Amino acid sequence: MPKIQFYNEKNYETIYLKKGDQKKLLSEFLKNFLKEMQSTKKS
Amino acid sequence: MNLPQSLPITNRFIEILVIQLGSRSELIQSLIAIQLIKKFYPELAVSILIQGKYIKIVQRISWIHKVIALPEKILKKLCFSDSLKILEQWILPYLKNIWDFLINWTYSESSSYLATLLPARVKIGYTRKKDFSFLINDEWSYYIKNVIQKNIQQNIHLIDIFFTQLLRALQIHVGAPMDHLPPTENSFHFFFNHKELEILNHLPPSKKWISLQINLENAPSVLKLEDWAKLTHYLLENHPDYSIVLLGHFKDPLISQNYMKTLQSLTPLSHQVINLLGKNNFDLWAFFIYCSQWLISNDPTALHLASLLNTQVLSFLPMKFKAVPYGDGHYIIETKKTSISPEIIYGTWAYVEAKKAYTWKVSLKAYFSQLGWEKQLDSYRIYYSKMRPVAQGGGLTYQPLLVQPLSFTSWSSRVISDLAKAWYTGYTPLKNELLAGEVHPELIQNLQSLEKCLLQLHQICQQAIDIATKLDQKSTQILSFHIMKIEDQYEIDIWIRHLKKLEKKIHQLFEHFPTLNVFYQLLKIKMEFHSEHRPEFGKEVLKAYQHMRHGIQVYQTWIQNTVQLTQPCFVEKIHHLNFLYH
Repeated sequence: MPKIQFYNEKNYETIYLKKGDQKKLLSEFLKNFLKEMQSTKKS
Repeated sequence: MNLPQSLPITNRFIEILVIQLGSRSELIQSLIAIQLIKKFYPELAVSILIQGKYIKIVQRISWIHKVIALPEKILKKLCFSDSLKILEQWILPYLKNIWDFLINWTYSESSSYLATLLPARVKIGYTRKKDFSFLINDEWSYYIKNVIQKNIQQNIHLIDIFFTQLLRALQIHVGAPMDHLPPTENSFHFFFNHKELEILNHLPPSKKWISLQINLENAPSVLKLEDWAKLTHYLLENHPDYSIVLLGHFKDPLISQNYMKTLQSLTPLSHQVINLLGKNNFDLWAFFIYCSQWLISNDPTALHLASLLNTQVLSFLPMKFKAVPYGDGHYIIETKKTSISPEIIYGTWAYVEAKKAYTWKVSLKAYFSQLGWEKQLDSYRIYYSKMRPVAQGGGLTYQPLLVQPLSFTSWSSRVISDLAKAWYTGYTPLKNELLAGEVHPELIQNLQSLEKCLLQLHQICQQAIDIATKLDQKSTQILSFHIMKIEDQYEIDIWIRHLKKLEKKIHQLFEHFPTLNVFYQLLKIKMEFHSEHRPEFGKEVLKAYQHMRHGIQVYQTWIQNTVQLTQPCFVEKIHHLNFLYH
């Protein structure tokens, strides 16, 4: 079976993150995730 | 972290990461969408990021490439800084892999940060910009945010949204699906191990099973425990070819005891019930739903699981839950009341069974009057699910089994769903699927005033299109928006001012017609222009108003088709009766 080929590669997004950004994003994720868990529990 | 801008990607599997950190029910719906998409693109390697507590659901599925489990239980126990350290360690290996597609189907604030962090070439769903402000890249995600998450009544199943969203992304970035789809395995054995499948051989082959999944937690007032027992009694007494499996995740053992006591007082056949109430084993639960011919339930997760396992469903949930089984031939009872009678559930199920056995033309109403329960029908809506053919736009539709007057809000929800399909997938509705019996004078009255509003809207829209066309043409003529002739600048400013006035008028019109609010919300996103003094501004405005005109046309077609249903049909003159006219 032929494998699917990618085309239009220029359209691909790539993200550029600084090292400090990684920590910030993780901490925001954690903060919001815990908040969401709490509110689902209540509801 | 710097990633190379372009990577040589040829002749290999396409790697997709689905983020689904939502509930069990959302996870199962995501699995159904993945299963569907794999039929069109069999060579996708789909990995899934889930909450660790749901690992049992996905661990045995062969068509899931990799399962990534979030250690949420540990994160909840520790203090914030310790949790963060654990999370940093946990995510490290996943930052090295660059997925081709990242699909965030969680649609939550928190998941948007995770979706930003994980590297992928194409991202769909909620993410964040470089400055961490909220970002949505695709139109279906706008629809989820502005319609579904705002609890606005609409008619597209979440699985259809997931599927179409991913299909569209694959069509754009990978190409059309294969012409000749390979036959897919119609077995649902992926969930079970050999031991469980052996039990299947020991079950009497002549016996059929109905799973009753009792849910008293989320919908306490829908069907009381004694009414569940009454429903079981009806099924056992009238259908000796069926046995019952009782399912339900309860911690309180009294529920099971009380249920059995009530059932024993109603029927001597209670020994034909396998009681698994309170047994919280996922494998056992999934196995019995899989073995059953029917699932009757008010539990959203159970009905999605049954859809995944190809078990026919009769679901009854209050309207606010908006959880309906996916696929052909399921039955849905909706009630506005806080409770539902066991007679309605049993009567509907028995009607469907009888229709299967005989080539019947009896209506549901007539069947209920035979049972003497027809008066109870008035406060319910009963539908069956049907997959629409691809040529007609595809997706799940709901056909009423009981024809009742349609409210204006329900009518609008159907139009909005068609509008979204027309805008986002290019599907143009051929005809609406209303029945003449659903149309009534009050609805027609509402449609007439809506038509007047749409006419005004259409005129304004046309004016805006004319101005935007001029603006677009001018933009192509001038070299720069910073250096141009004074008369050109003057002309552009007049057009922009005019466009702003028209926008105000549109806003006022929408305010007068709150039912069009969803249309306006979806339109507003298309009209978020970044700056007026850019060469692309004219093109963007033109596109937005063309979309609006298209939307107005969808509404007008729906109105036309609905009104037509009330008009008398033209009856051809019968020639042999011509003598009557002479």
